[in-house]
Amino acid sequence: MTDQRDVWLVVPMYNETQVVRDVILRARRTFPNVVCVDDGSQDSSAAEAAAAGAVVVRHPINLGQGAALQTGIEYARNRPGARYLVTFDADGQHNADDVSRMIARLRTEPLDVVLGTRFQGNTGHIPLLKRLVLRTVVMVSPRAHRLKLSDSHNGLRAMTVEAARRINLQSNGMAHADEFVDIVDRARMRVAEEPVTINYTDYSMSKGQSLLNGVNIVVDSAVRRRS
Amino acid sequence: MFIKPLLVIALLVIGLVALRGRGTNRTSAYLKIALGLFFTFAIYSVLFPEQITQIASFIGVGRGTDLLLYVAVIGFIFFTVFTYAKFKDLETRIARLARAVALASALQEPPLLPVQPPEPSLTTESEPTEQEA
Repeated sequence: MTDQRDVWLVVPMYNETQVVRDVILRARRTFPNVVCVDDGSQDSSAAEAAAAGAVVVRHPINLGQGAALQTGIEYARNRPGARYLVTFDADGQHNADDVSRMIARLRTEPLDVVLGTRFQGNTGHIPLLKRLVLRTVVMVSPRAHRLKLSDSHNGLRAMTVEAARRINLQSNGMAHADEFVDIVDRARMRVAEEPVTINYTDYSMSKGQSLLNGVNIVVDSAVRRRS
Repeated sequence: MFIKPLLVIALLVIGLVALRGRGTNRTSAYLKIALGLFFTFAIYSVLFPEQITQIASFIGVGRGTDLLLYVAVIGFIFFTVFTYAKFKDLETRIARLARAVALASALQEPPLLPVQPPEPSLTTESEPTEQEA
């Protein structure tokens, strides 16, 4: 097994007591370095994550997922020896095996960022409505189109530490996925997609974004572009 | 019929000001001038309501009350847009502050002892420490 000690997983987390320990223990079998950003959870998520061996960075107040990602990225990219950063969800919908493949590509190919995509290969496991909405989002996004992305709202992203230094997410809420693609595009980073499998469990479905949240994302993105 | 272009221009100006520099000294100076004009107009309309009606019919609104209503609506939109921009700005500042606090306290804590992961080959003796803080 390749030595993955130069990789940091960045895991934003908000009220994930039930699953987070298990998710982190499993991820740490391959990736020992995990930073969990506890976004002001009211439950014992932080203790669970720490028990699983993650470094826990706690927001004193709840700020939103985008802000938590940015905090985690800033922590991880300043760790000595860190060469690759991966954003990884705390609800167990991502697989360490997928991350391994993404990191392998960063190691061997001239790439800055590798984004996970649900839309290469078999898409049968994705709920139909979700599939339709995500496809539409990509079709109407000029940047996603230009970068030939098939899935711009996947939480699984791997990047080199140099790329991570250029990430500065301003959207605190859920519009950060668009913003991430924006930054990558503006900085002319070399991007590739890697097919990944998302585990749509009942838990992750209940924690995931409701489709109505798409309204928030669209409005927030529109305002941000102009500011 | 001046009222239509007047209202449209007012809305455009609000939009422009809202989209461009916010929080700068210039913007806040404009805001103060706008407020000043608004108060002058308010006092004027209280003192000389019949002149407000004359102005209203001059620019094609009809009654003075209608003109007041239009001005009030514009003022309300103006306020809403500025408040929204201000809120966004504050949100960003709070996020920066909270992030700084989070990162600083994470570096102060002693590095966590790595818990033995399920597989023995995965001991993480080289977990970077936070000495540089």
